[in-house]
Amino acid sequence: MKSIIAFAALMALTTTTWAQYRNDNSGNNEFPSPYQEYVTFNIAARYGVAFPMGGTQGYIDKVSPTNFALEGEWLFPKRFAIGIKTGYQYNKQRLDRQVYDYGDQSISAVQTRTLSVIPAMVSLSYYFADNAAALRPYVQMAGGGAYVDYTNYFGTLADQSNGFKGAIAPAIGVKYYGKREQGLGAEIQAQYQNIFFNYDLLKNSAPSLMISAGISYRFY
Amino acid sequence: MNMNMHQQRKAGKWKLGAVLLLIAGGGLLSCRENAIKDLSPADSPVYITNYDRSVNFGQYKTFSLPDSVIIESNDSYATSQTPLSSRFVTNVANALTAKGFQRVNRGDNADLGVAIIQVNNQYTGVASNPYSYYSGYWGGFGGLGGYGYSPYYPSYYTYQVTDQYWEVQIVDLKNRPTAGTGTSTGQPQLNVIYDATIRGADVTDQQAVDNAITAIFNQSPYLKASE
Repeated sequence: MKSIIAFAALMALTTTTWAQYRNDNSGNNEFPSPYQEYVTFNIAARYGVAFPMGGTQGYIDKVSPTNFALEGEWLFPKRFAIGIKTGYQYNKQRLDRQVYDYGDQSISAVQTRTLSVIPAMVSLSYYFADNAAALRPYVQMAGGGAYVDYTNYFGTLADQSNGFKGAIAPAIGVKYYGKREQGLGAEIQAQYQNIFFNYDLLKNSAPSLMISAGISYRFY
Repeated sequence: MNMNMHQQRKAGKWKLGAVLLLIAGGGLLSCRENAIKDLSPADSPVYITNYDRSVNFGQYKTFSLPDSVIIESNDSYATSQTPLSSRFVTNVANALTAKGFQRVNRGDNADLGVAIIQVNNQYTGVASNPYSYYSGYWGGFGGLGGYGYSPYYPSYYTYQVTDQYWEVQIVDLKNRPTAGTGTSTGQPQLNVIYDATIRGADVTDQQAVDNAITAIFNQSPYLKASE
């Protein structure tokens, strides 16, 4: 008898929880959220630090503190989003006076190595929660190009190469809005970016890992 | 209709965003411009050395070095003697002596000829302004005038580049070709077997001269007379 009561109690409790869970997940069923009905928008601005990797490390092996990311997305009623992203990434490293051999020449100089990047990419994201949810983790694949400026100063003389190169940038991140349907939220993102740029000391390609955090705003 | 208005407003918002983004991007681009603003005078100069790989410097024993430096300006040459140039001469002479070479008196025969040259070249270039063509071409569209190119802006403009640096040249006097061969002028052509340039910063004081000469000869270990 005791076991039957226990079972009944357990059933009652879990069913309640299940009902609440369902309710949370689909929002208010009587008035569906516009986020679930229409194409809505999200814009985000983030600040980040970037860790040079691979070929980039051969040129600058110092963490970059100057990175900004801007992103605009069209959120589709399902969990996909298409976006555009850009920003500005800059890194600089000063090396003490050294003698560098270039062909027949020996060059003694203090090098100031700089790398500036302005990405221009299209992104496709999949969110693990619906468009109106408070917490929205996602995976993203972005591709396109980036304007790269490689300027290596020998003293005051510059060895420069720049151009618009192809780039890819897979990323994972999470947007947190505090509560369902709220517009303003916060976002963190980890992005691996590889730009198909190489010149002199920067060999093969220019990858980096950027961890960024900032604000995110959704609206319709 | 109402829906249309709504969408238009949205499009407007996006455009504003794009403009703000461009402004932000433009402002941030200046980061690189500031990259070498904090470079100290001692860190600014660049010392470039080059030598003839086929030459064995052990075969030379003596060098000749005039007391004045050559001022090269485009194709004209002059000599100069200032406290700064004297410092150059003294330092180069000391450095070569330390490397085992002997300086000979003026007019005597030497294996090597050393020249200190202050190069001061000016070039004038001509470039075209591509926008002037288009601004004339699209002259009817007043709305495009926002770029700031006046219709009177010339299609071509000239610019001047000044190239100033110091140079230390060593020529081979020992194996000089006999007069009359080589060039049409009848003057023997001397081979430059070593060349060092000081670029990137104007040499303005004696400390800069000392640093430059020390660096140049330190990075040229092959420049040594045999014992």
